[in-house]
Amino acid sequence: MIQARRAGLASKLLLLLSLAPSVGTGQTRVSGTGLVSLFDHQVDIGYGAEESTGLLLGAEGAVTFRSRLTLAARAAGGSLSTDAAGAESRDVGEVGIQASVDLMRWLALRGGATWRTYSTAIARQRWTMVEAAAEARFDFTTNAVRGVVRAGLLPVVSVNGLPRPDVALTAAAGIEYRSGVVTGGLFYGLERYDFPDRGAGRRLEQVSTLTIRFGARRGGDHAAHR
Amino acid sequence: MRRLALGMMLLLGAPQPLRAQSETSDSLRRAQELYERLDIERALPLLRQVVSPSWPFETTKDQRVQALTLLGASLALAGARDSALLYFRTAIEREPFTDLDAQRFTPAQLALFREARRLTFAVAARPVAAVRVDPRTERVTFTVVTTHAAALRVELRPVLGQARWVLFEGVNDGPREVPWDGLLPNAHLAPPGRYELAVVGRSQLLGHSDSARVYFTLAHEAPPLEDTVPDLGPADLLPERFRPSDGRRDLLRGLGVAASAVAISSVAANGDLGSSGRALSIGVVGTAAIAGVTAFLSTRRERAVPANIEENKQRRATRDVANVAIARRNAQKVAQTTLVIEPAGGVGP
Repeated sequence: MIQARRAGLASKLLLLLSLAPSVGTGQTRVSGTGLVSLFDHQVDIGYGAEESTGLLLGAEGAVTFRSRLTLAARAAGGSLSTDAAGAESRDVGEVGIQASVDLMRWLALRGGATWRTYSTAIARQRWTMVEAAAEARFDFTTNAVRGVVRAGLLPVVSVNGLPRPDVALTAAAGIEYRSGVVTGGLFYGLERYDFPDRGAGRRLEQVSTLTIRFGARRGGDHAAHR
Repeated sequence: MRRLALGMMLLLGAPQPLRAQSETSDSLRRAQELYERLDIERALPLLRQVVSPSWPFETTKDQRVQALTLLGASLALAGARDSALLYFRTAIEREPFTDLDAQRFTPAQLALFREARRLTFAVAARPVAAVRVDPRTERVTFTVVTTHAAALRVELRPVLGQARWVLFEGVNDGPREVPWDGLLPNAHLAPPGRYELAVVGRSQLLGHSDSARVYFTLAHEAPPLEDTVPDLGPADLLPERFRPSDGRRDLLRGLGVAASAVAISSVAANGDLGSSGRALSIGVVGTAAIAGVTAFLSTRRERAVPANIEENKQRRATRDVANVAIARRNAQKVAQTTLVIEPAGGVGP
């Protein structure tokens, strides 16, 4: 109930922000991006951290309206392997949708939802996460580099078989380089989930990613990047 | 019978002024019929009643002028030349556009009427009719009159303002149509607003002067115009020179991103899970720091940036081309402007 209320609040906030005065005047921009992520998943259920790593491949498509409202959808998947004794390798797949509103040239608010599935031969665990975050962008003056720092909360996290986490946050930092219509980037990302102790020990999970992105765009304002 | 009943009902239901006007109209019709049957003796008292100040029914200006004209014509037939002249002059004074149809009146009546016009001087302008005019192909036409030969000047001026321009100046005798193309003397379209058409005449026979004014409003009707592309501001242009301070700021930006990656991997991450995930942040820390240091080193001395200068030129040129196209399209729309003219009551509402 509380989760649904928070999700509603986040969507209302995004709607209000999209109606705020514009900071840009460009037209609609469409972009497509390919992703390669080094995915590190750590879980500790009281017996020490178990780590799974693997490569995820993904793609993202985004449309930016009037240089300020961006709607994006992405999908990624791959396999995670582990050296932990008794642990199985898993496949991971996720899809997500996202909306972001540029409040200023250097600041955007974004919200989104991600559905992620970890699956083994015998079990499947589904995650649903709703994100509300702020993203700061630092355009370099002397070249076409842009620094990006993002931090946010995951007010809604639903995992089958697990209670709602006490702490759920996300953060990322990275560098983008743009040349004409092509964009390349390197991002470090983190998702942290601390689940409450229900008598069987405390469950901690964390996902760290290092993502290389290559994308191309069409249309949009030319002055956003240097 | 049914028609009569309907007529009675309409008559009884009609408002009082309408019935009064109808009474005058009926009397004039009866007088006209008597005049046409040459029953002048019976037509004259009826017409005199209608023009008398004691006539109890409402009489419009047109009805009064019609009665005066018919009186003059009747008296002319009766041989009362001076009286006929008097009524003709009164009719002309009240409505300088008054004229006799040469097909319906005798040469003697026409001669008397011409005499009345020579003895009376007045100018007038017809109220401007509501009209829509395409100034490219059409003209607004004003109709003015002098009762006899006179030096006439027809001027147009906006009610608010000192400007005025002459539409006609010269000798005139009788009615005249004065066309106006909707343009000012400088060939621009007359701006929207309230206008006064002033007619001033000086009789060449009597030396008297007279004037008349009519008012109208003028509005433009054109397709909506496009906004031009605004000037390019600093946010729309690339820096044309790099200064050492730019490099220092970029160094701070790079180091800031690197520090953020370190903070995320150390402060935001859960320390209980070990530090294996932190290794992934090293890639971003290193790349961001290198980007910042490179920017710093490349701008230790101020330098021009030819690529940015060229790009800015391109952007300005693109904007100029867009604005020229917009201006051309707007000019085409302005050229399609239609003038909407409505009669007005005076200098203001």
